[in-house]
Amino acid sequence: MATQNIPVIETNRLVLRGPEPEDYPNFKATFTSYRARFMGGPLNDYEAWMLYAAEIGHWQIRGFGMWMIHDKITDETCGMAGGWQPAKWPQAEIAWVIWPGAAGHGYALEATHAVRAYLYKQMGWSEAVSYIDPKNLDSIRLAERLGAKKDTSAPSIDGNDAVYRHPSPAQLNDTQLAHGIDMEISHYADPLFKPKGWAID
Amino acid sequence: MRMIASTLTTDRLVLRHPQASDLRAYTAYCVSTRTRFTGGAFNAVQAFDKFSAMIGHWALRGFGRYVITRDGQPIGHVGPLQLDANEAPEMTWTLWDAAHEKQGFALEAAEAVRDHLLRDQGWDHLVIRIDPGNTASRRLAQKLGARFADDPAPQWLPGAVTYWLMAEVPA
Repeated sequence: MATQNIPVIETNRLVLRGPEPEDYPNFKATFTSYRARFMGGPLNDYEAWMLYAAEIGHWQIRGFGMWMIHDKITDETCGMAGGWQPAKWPQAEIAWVIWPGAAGHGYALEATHAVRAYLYKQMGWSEAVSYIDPKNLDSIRLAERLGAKKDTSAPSIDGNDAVYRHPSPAQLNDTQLAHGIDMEISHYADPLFKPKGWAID
Repeated sequence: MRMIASTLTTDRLVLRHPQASDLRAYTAYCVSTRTRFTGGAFNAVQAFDKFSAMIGHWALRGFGRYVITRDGQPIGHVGPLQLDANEAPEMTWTLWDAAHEKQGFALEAAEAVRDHLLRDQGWDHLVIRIDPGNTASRRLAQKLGARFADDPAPQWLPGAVTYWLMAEVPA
């Protein structure tokens, strides 16, 4: 899929578009920082630029990839979410990252929930996993809020990551689980109701 | 300024954007000893990442490296690489398989890109970095009219020798 053809996804608060050149400084800031410690980082300048270019090329090679998450009102980026499958990945995964300064607003939940629905409904995915560093508690918590469960039987990337299996398309089709995720997202969007739990992303 | 050409055609070759169907041939090149002068050999995972980045480079910079095709088959890549926007773009060329060497393909492709960038597009210069032991590439740099310079080697290619391709300034 050519870069200019990457579909746009809109949610209540967010708009997700393909990675664009002007978004690179924000990507670089996160991926050269400690925030990237569970994503193969921190990267040096060269590695960060190569990875950003590769995020774009991934779309063309696989036909899916990572979207850049923008605040719908300000257009500021706050992270990325999407499908990811480099060479030798056991299967396609759903991945996400939120810039440190944008954490705590439920953006990752809202974006990843929408991305998963898109991959299932528009791109024909029948299943999905996420490969997560076992020490990355924020991401594990998000996977669980998305209804994913640890799958100890599924092959991992290199044995150092935990595999979280997402609910199937049917398990998200007008189910209590799906309604619960929608409700949590709506509570983030409405400042009158703030979750009291642990949610970070 | 006019857009960089997405395709360049020479007598025997077509140079075009990298595409997904090139990945197999590119990976075979990456895991072979042919990458010994450019930081290799690489594994298939690295090859995927490098090739993805080659595609993404076009989107980020508006120019990038072309895949050299001969009779529709991808046989190498050629063109400008600029990882750091504060540094001069680097001219690169590579044939992916020894079977395509010694027929002038790399020179033919590199000349077409050189002429397009320096003459048609008005670029001032391109830098060339080559492992000193890579005599075939050094010879090609000279045939392109590049000038040897004693610039220090970049951090990512220790020991490399440097050449510069300069636009010809009308007298």
